[in-house]
Amino acid sequence: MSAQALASMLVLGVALAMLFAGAATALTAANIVKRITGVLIALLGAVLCLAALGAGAQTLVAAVAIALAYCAVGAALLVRMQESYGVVETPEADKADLADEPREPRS
Amino acid sequence: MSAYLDLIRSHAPAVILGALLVGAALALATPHGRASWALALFAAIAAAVAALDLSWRFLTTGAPLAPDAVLTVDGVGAFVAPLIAILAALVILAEGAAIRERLARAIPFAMALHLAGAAGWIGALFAQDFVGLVVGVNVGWLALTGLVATGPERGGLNGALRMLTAGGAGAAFMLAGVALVTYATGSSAVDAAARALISGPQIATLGFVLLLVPLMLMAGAAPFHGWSGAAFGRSNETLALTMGALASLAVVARLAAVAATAPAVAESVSVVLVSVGIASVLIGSVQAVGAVNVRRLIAYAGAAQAGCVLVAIALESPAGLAAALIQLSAWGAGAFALFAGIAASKDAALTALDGLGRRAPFAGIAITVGALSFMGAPLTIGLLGRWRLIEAGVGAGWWWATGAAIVTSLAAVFYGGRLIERIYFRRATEAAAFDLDVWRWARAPVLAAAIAAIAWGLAPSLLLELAARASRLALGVDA
Amino acid sequence: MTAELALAGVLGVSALQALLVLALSRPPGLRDVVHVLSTGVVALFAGYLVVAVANGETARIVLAQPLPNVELAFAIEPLGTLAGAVLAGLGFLHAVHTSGMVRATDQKAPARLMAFSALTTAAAMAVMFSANLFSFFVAYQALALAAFPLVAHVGDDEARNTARTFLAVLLGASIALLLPAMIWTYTLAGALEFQTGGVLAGRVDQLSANILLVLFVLGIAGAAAPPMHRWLTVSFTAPYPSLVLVQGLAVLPAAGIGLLKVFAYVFGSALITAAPATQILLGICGVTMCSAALIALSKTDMRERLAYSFWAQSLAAIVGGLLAAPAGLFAAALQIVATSCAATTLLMAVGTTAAVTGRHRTLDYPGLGRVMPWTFAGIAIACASLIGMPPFSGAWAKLWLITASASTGVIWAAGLVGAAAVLTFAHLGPLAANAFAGRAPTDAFKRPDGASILLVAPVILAAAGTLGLLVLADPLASFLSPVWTPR
Repeated sequence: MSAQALASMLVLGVALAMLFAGAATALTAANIVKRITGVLIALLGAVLCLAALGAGAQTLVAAVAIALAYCAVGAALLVRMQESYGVVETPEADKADLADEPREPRS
Repeated sequence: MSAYLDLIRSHAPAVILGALLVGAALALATPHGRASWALALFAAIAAAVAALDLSWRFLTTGAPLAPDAVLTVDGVGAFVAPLIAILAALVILAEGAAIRERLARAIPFAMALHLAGAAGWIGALFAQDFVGLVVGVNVGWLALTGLVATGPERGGLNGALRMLTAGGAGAAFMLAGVALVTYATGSSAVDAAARALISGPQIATLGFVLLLVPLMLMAGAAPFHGWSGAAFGRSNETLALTMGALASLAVVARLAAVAATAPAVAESVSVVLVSVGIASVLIGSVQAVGAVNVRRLIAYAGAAQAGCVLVAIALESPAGLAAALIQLSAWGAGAFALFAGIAASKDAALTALDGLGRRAPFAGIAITVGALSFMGAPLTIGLLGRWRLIEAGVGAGWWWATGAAIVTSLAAVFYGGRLIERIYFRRATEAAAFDLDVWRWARAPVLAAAIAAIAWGLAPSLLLELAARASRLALGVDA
Repeated sequence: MTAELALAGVLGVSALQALLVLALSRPPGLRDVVHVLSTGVVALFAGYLVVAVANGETARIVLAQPLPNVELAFAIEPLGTLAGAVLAGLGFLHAVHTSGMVRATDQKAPARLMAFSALTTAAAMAVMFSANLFSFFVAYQALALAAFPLVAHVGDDEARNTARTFLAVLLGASIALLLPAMIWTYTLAGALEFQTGGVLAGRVDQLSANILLVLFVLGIAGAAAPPMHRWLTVSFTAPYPSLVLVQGLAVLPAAGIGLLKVFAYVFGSALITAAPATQILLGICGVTMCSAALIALSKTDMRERLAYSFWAQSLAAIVGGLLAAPAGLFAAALQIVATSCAATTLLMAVGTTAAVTGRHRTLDYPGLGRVMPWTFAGIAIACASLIGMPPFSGAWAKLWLITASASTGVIWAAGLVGAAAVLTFAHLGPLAANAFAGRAPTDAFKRPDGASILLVAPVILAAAGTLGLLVLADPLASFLSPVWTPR
C-alpha cells in the first residue's frame, strides 16, 4: 500500500473517530458548551472524511459552511440560555422548564 | 409577455427558491412587524403559485424545464414542493394572528426564518447533487431551530438546543454519507446511483443509510425523536415543525426512490426504512396515548404517522411511494387542522380544551376533523392514505404494513377520542387561557384550508392520479 | 314520489331532524312535534320503499367516489329495506315515547338527546341501505360516533367511562379488523359492491376465506360476537331513550343486518369455503348465547338483565347467518327483526315503569302488573316473543333457526338454540308472570297521575307489532328470496 493511501486511511480513521465521538458528546453531555463542541467536532470529522475520500472543493466549502452555521447558531443559543436560565447545564434547564409547565390531569 | 412567462416557467425551480430567498431578505430588512409579515406572506404565496404551476405542468403534461446545473425536478419534488410552499404560506398567514405575542424586533427575523426554512427544504428536493441536498436540509433545519429559539417561552431555547445538537450530529453523518456515496458511485449527482456501476455496494449502502437516518431524525421518527418532545412542547412553532417533518420525509422518499433503482442498495435501504418505520409507529403510538401535553401529544402522533410513511416508502414500489405521498398530504392537512384549532388556546394543557366546542366552535370543528383524519375516519383524506398503504402492503405480501396502519389508527382513536371528549363533553372548569379574538382573519383561512384539505377525501381522484404519476416518475417506471 | 326520492328521504330527513330539533328546542312542545313528525315521515318513506322492492323496483344514490371502483352509495334491496322499514316504524313509536320520558323524568338536555337520536337513526338507515362494503363501513362508523353521545348523555364519570368503552370497542374493532378485511376484499375482488351470490364467490381460497370471515365477524363489533360484546353489557347505564336506540333500534340491529349483508352479499357461496371458521364461530356464538341467557338470570337490575338477554338474541341471529344456507339467512333476518320489536317494547316498558314508579330492580316488579296493566301486558308479550313462544314473532324466528340448523346438518346448533330459549324463559318468564301474580304494591307511583298516554301507547303498539310476523311469515320469505337468489 502506498504512503498516500495509508495516509488517507489514517485520516479517514481519525475523521470517523471524531465523527462518532463528537456525535456522542453532542447527544449525551450535560453541559451546553460540551454539546456544542461535540457538534463541531463531529462536523469537523465529517469534513475530514470528505477530504480523505477525495471530495471536490465545492463539497468541502459547503461542509465548512454548514459547520460554521452550526457554530454560529450554537454560540447564540449558549448566550441566550445563559441569560434566560442562568445555568449551562441541561438537567437544570430541564428542571426549570418542568417547573414552568402547568399541572396536567391524570385522565 | 407570454415569452417572459414561458421563460419564468421553464426556470420554475429557481424562481420558487428565488422568491423565497428574496422574500426572506426583504422581510429581514423591513423593521416594521406588520409590513415584514405582509412581505413574507406575499413571497410565500408567489412561491406557492409557482410551485403549483410547476407541479401541474410536470406531472400532467410533462412540460420540459430548462437545463440547470444546480437544480432538477423529479416526481417526488414535483409533488411535495407545492405542499411545502402552501404550508409555508399558511404558517406565515397564521403568524399574523400571533404577531403581538412576539417581540417587535423579532418579527422580521421570524418571517425571514420561515421563508429561508421553506427555501431550504424545497431546495433539498430540487438539488441535483447530494451536497445541495444536504445544504438545503440543514438550512431548513437551522431555520426551524432559530424559530423555536425565538418563541415567547424560554423553554423554546431548550428545545432549540436539542434540535441543534441532534441536527448537528445528523449533519455530520449526512456529510459522511455524501462522502461514501460519492466515493462508491463516482459522482455526487443524486440520480447517479442508478446509472453508475457501483464499485462498492456496501459502501454505497452505508452512505445511503448515513444520509437517511439523520433525515428520519429530523422527521421526528422514533427512536430518534428525543428532541421533538421539548421542541414541540415548549414552543409555538408546531406548524413549522410539522412542515419540517413532512419535508424531511419527502427527502427520504426521494433518496429511497433513487436507491430503489440501484439493486445493490435497494434491499438494505428498505430494511432500514421498515425497521425504523415499525419502531416509530409503535413507540410514537404508545407515547401519544400516554401524553398529557397537547403539543407533545401531536408530536408523538407525528412520529407514528412518520412511521407509516416510512413503511410505505420502504415498499419501493410505485404503489408504495404513491401511498407515502398521499399520507404526507393527509398528515399535513390533519396536523394543520389540529394545530390551528389548538393554537387558539394559549395553554398546552389538556384541560384548556375543556368545553372548547361551546367557546370556539370553529376551533372545536378543526380539532375534531384533524383528529378524525389521524384516525383514518371515512371520507377524510386520512383514510385515503391508510387505505393506499394497506393496499400496497397487501399487494406486496407485507402484512406488517397493514399492522402499522392499524396500530397508528387505533392509537389515534384513543388520543383523538380524548381530545374530542374534552372539547364536547366537558365544561370549562376554570377561566381557560383562551384567546377568543384569535379568530381574526389570519387564522380563519388556515382553518378553512385545513378542513377543506381533509374534505378532499370525498373526491380525491386528482390527488390519486398525481401521486401515482409522481411515484412512477420518481422510480423511473414508464408513466 | 319515486324510489330514489324515498331513499333520499329515509337518509336525509333524520339528519335534517337533528338540526331542526336543536334549532327549535323551545318551546318543548314544538321540539317534540318536530321530533315525532320527522320520524313519522321517515317511516312513511321506508314503507314506500318496501312496496317498491316488492314491485321489483331499484334505486341507487351515489354521493361520492373516493377511490376507483369504490363509491359512497346507497341502494334498496330486500334485506336492508325490510329491516329499515321495521325499525323506522318502531322509531316513530320510540319518538313518541321519548317525548313522554323527557317530561316524566325531567331529562337534562332533551334537545341534544333527540338530536343525537335522530343522527343515530340516520346512520342506522344508512347501514341498512348501504350499497357496498365501503358505504357500510362509513355508515357503521358514523353510527358508533352518533350513538356515543347518547351513551354519555348523563355526563357523570360513570357515563363517560361507559361511553369510552362503547366507542373504543366499536371503533377499535372496525379499524383493526373490519377495515383490513374490507381492503383485502377489494384486492381480491377488485370491487366492494354487495351482490347476490357473493362478491368473493370463486375468488377466494380457503385460508383467506377463513381469515376474512373471522375479521368480518369480530370487526363488526356492533353485532356483539364474543369477545367484542363488552359495549353492549356495559351500556345499560345510559338513559332509557338512549338504551332503546343502542340495544333495540339502531346499533345492535343495524350491525346485525350489516353482518348478514356481509354473509349474503360479500361471501355468498364462499361462506361454505370458510369452514372450519364457520364451525368454530358457530360453536363460540352458540355456547355464549346460552351463557348470556344464564348470566342474565343473575342480574337484578332490569336494564342489565335485558342487556344480557338481548345479547343472547343477537347471537342467535349470528348463528343463523353462519349456517351458510338461505334458510339460515332468512331465520337470522327474522330473528333480528323480531328481537328489535321485542327489545324496543321491553325497554320502553321498563323505562315507563322506572319513570312512573322509580323501580328498576327485578325484586321490585312483582305485583306492578296489577297497577300498570297495559305496560306490563307489553312486557309480557315482548318476553314471550324473546322466549320463542307462539304466536309471537320470536317463535317463528326460533323455529326457522332450528329448521335451518337441522337442514344443514348442524343439529347441535339447533340444540343450543333450544337451550337458550329455555334459559331465556328462566330469566324472563317468572318476571312477567309475577308482575301480574304478585300482590299489588300500595305505594307504586311516584306521580299521582300515573303514566301518561305518551308512555303507554307506544308500548302497546310495539307489542302488537310482535304479532305482525305471525301473518307475514310467507310473504316475508318471498320478499327476502332475492337475497340469495337473483331475480
